[in-house]
Amino acid sequence: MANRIDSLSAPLLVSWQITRDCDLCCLHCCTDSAPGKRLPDELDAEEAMRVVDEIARNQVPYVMLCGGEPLVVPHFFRIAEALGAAGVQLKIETNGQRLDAGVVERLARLPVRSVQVSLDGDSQEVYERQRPGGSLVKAHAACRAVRAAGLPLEITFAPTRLNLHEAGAVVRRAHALGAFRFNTGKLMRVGTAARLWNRLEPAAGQYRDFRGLLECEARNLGGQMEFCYSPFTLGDALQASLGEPPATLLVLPNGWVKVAAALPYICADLRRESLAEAWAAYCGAWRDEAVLAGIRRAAGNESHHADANDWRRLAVSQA
Amino acid sequence: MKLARYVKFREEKFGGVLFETRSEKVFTLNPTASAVVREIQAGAAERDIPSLLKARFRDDSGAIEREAAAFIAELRQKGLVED
Repeated sequence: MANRIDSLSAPLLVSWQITRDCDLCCLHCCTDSAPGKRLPDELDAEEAMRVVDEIARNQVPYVMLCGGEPLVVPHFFRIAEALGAAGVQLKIETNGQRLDAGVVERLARLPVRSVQVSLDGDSQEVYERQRPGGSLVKAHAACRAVRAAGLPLEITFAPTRLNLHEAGAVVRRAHALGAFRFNTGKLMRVGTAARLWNRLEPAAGQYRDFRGLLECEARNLGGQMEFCYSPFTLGDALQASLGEPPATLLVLPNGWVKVAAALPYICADLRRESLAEAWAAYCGAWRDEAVLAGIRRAAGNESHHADANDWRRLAVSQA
Repeated sequence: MKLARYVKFREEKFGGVLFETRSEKVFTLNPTASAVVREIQAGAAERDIPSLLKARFRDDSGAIEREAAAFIAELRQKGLVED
C-alpha cells in the first residue's frame, strides 16, 4: 500500500546526529552518547559536506543538527553555514554547555528555526545528577544568549525518577527564559536509559501527576508557551507512524539511515548511496511487511526499544 | 507578499508541498496552488496573481481565478504568507 511519503521526491526533514561524542554523560541518553564515545567510523568533514550538498540538491527544507552534542564537532559550523547558505532551515539540539555568545552570534546569521536546550532539572543538584558534568548555570546562560540574539528557543525535559519533582519549576523556568515550546514525553527506553531503566523509570503515578502538571501549566500560561507532549510515548509515536510514516530521514553519525529512532533497522548508507537512493530505501522500508511487523511489535512493547542502537542493515526491496 | 519566515516550498510531481517548520505542519498543494506559490516567490503582486494564473492555464471559465483567490485567502488565514 502506498504511503504519503511515496509521493514526495525527498524527505521534508533530515534529523542528523552528527556525532555520538558529547561533553556530558547523561543517564537518560537515548543515543548512548558520552565523552569519548565518538564512533570510529563517523563521517569526516568532507564526507559530511557531501551529505550537505545532497540535502541542498534535493531541496530538503529543514534539518535538525543533533548528536551527541553537535557543538563538539569541529566542522559543526561548516555544516550549519553551508546548509544555511542553501536556505535550509535549521534546528540545533544542544545541552547548552558550549553555547556562548560567540556561538549564538554566528548561529543568528543563519536561518535558524530554533535552538533546543535540554533542561532536566531546576537545581544544580538535580540537573547534575541526571547530567553528570553539566552546569545548569551554563545551560540557563545559553538560553538567555539564544533569546538575546532573537533566536527561537525550545526547552526539552526528559522525565525520570530523579527529576520529576522539579518538573513544574522547569516549565516555569522555560517560560521565564522566553521559550516558545516545551517538549517532553515519557522517558524513552533506548540507549543509556534502557541500561539504567530500573534506576530511572518513573512510577505510573508519577507520570499521571506529571501529565496533570503539564495540563495545568498549559492552562495557566494560556498559550504563551506551546506544550508538546503528544504522542506521550515512543510506542504511541510508532503507532501513529504506521498510519502515516514521517517524511523524515534519521541520519546517524556514520551516515547510516535509520527507519525509526526506536528501532535498530538501517535502510541506507549515505557514505555509499545518494540521498535519493536513501529516500527510496526508506519509503520501501515502510512498505516492507517484515519491517512493519517489527514496528508493530515495538509499538506494543517498549522493552523492544532497548536494542534500538544495535543497528542492523535491512535487506528490503526498494520497488 | 512573501512566504512567512518559517515556511518553505518544494515542487513535487503532484504540485508541491508547503512546510511550516515552526509548527512542523505540511500542506499538500495541487498544481494551481503550487502555481500561486511560485508567483508569490517571483514577487508578483497579490491582486495580480489570479489573472496571471487565468492566463497561464488559459482558463476562461473563471474557475482558476476563483481557486487562486481562495487559496491566497487561505494562505493569509493560516499565517503562511506575510507582507
